[in-house]
Amino acid sequence: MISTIRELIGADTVFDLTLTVLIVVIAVLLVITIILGLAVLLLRYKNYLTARRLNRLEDQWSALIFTAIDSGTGELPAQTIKRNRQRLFLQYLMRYARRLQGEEFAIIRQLAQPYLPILLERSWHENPEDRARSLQIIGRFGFQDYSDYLVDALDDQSPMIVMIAAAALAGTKYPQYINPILAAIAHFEQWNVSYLAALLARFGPEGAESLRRTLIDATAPLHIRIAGAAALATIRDLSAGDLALDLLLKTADPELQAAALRLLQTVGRQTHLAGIRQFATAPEFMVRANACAALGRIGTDTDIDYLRRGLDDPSNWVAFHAAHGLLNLGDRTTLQNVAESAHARSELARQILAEN
Amino acid sequence: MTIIIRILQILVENLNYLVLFYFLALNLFYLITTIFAFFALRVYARRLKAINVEELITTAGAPPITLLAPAYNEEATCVESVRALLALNYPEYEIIVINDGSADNTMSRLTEAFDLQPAARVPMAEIPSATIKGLYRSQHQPNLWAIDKANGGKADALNAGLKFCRTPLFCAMDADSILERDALIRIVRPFLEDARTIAAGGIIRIVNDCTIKAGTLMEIRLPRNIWAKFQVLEYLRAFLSGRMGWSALDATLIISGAFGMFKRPAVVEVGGYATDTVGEDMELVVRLHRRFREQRIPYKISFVPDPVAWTECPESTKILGRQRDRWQRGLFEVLTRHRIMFLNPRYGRIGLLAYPYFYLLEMLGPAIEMPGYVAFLVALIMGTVSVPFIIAFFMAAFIFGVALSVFSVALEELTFRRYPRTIDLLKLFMLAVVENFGYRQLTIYWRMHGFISALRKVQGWGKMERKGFKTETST
Repeated sequence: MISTIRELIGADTVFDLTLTVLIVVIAVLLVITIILGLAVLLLRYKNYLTARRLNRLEDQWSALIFTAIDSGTGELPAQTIKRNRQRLFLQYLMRYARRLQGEEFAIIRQLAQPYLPILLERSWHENPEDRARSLQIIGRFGFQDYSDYLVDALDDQSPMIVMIAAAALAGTKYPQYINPILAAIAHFEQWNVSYLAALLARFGPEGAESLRRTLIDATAPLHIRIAGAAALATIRDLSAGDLALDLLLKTADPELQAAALRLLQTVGRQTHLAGIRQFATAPEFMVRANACAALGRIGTDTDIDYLRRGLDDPSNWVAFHAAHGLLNLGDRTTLQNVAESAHARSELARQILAEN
Repeated sequence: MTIIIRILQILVENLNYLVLFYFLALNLFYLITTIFAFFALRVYARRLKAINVEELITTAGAPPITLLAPAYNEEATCVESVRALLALNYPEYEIIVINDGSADNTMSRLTEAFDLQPAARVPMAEIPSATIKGLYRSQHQPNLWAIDKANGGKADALNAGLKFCRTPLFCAMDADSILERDALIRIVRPFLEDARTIAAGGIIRIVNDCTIKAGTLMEIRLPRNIWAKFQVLEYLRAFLSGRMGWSALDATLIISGAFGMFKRPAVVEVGGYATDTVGEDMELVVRLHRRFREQRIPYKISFVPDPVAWTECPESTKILGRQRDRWQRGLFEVLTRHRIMFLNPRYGRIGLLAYPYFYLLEMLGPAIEMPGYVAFLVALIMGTVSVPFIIAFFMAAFIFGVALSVFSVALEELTFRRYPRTIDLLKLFMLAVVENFGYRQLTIYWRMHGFISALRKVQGWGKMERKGFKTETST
């Protein structure tokens, strides 16, 4: 082909031959482009037909679901959903169930039961995204019967699958799953700690014991201990106060110190104040800021002096928490004096007073 | 005389070869990023189907966000834009609109619409900015704040907002843009999945002639204006093929100023936005790369293709020309300022791949392409080029471009399908062909102008006129 084109356009040097090759390559690209353009148009038409078919199916399914909810049975006539549509049906139920709770949700779950096995048949042979989708449905509708699959998924190579399995198991609030989850997410040191903490907190007070163990376990990864502390704070586990103080006094890691102080803000008691006060002058501003926040939250009149000194701190964050703390402890006078003076934090004091 | 003609011939001939090489190199880069983008988008689209992003984030520790929206002479669109921001679907966020010394009624429109009243608030970071005249808080929207300040440019306005930001993440955007309702939920994902993420950019789409109701986009369609139509295609190519591809190569060098999310401490640490360039968005990203690479701190900067900011684009050649001139100046200023990164292995694939690409092909591109067209015409008239060269030049300069534009439209249709009308899809394909014969050369002319302005150290943004969004009540 190249020689024909070369002859046609009169290419007679090596350079011209190179140009000819270039022309052929771009021409091939053009042909691919035309084919791609046509394929895209066909795809648009196919998508249109698929959407129309799906809309029709969903209308039918919607009517079936209404009937099932109205009758309160949660049963569909046998073979109502053809085998090749069962997966779509489950995905539809999943979307439908997002808006439901209580008895209505129980009916939807019952409707899904006969079709869940199809997800197991196929889920382990498909790409991680499809498997993740299946796991979500299993977690939502079939937890009781398929919990082993979810626990196995915690060992999956795909982080997305592990997270979805962890979220599904955490949603059950059964404490036996918290340890496998803690072990699984130990490898996820790059994930956002607040996200992991929220996941762990979903177990509620039932998961507190495991979280407390993790908090004091010096061999556990740092991000898990920090997430554990945040989760304990979320569930307001009062028993964690002593452990948090112990951790605060023993660890040299500023991130862990800050995490322990944040936990103490929520679950600390007056017996912890002496320990916390030591950190109001820590070298790292985030530790000082969290110490001031803790003193402001659970402190006594003795701590007002610490917080007043916090107002002079070079860090805006420390001063901010100190000012809030003074207000919490009822020392409006100091804030008013600062607000009316030429103090560097006068504007901050005015803001805190105005906000409250 | 003959010698002069001969020298001219040699010059023209060599320039033609250079331009041919330039077209090939540029389009090959586009092709490579498009291929990477294709695979990355395929995985991304599958992931989107696999998980319910909203459920995952709203139930699990979504970090609070501050939206920084600088506004300069935005009286036509600012109220509608802020309404859209207030309607966003995200658990905890604050909006700070920064009126950058507008000469029109931007501030009074905002005050009237949202009952803004003076309020006290202290800055949390030491970043310089022009004089702040007042801070205001909405009386019925407690998460809406406004800063009224002396004019200092967009970067200065963002710095003013950044000073008052208290949340771990902030989103920089234009006050004349409309964020889709779940845009924040989607753009925050990289920060949750990888704590090393310090910045992420979303996609910008053109809102001209789309219909908006109560801050929400109701109807998406191609604009009627031809210049706006061309820009739709350009944006698709730039974001879906370009930025997605560079992100897949882990070499994101630009996050659009119209919609980007950043870790506040990282940006505060590098000193906020640079106020002495019109390319402040790119400059910040390059500076973040530089700082984190130099200090050997692991980090990630990525592009997320589905959080959308809809923005109004220029519909006249005058304004469009100014915009492109400014973009080229910004690019020039940023790339010359950080030229130490050019082909420097210390900066990894940013220094060895992305930076040289932007420097040689995007920054110097117009200075090669523009004279190249002239040289090609001269050579044609003088009859000094062979037929194979003419065909190869045409193929490399035009047909390759058509192919790449069609690929971008195909990427859009294979993934997000935001233009539901088939006629719009057909028009996009047609535009992919047409834009290579006239529009592209026009943009090169504007960019060349910008390149020369940058060499002459011209400053300033140039005036941008807005016609306002098309709202459902006005149709």
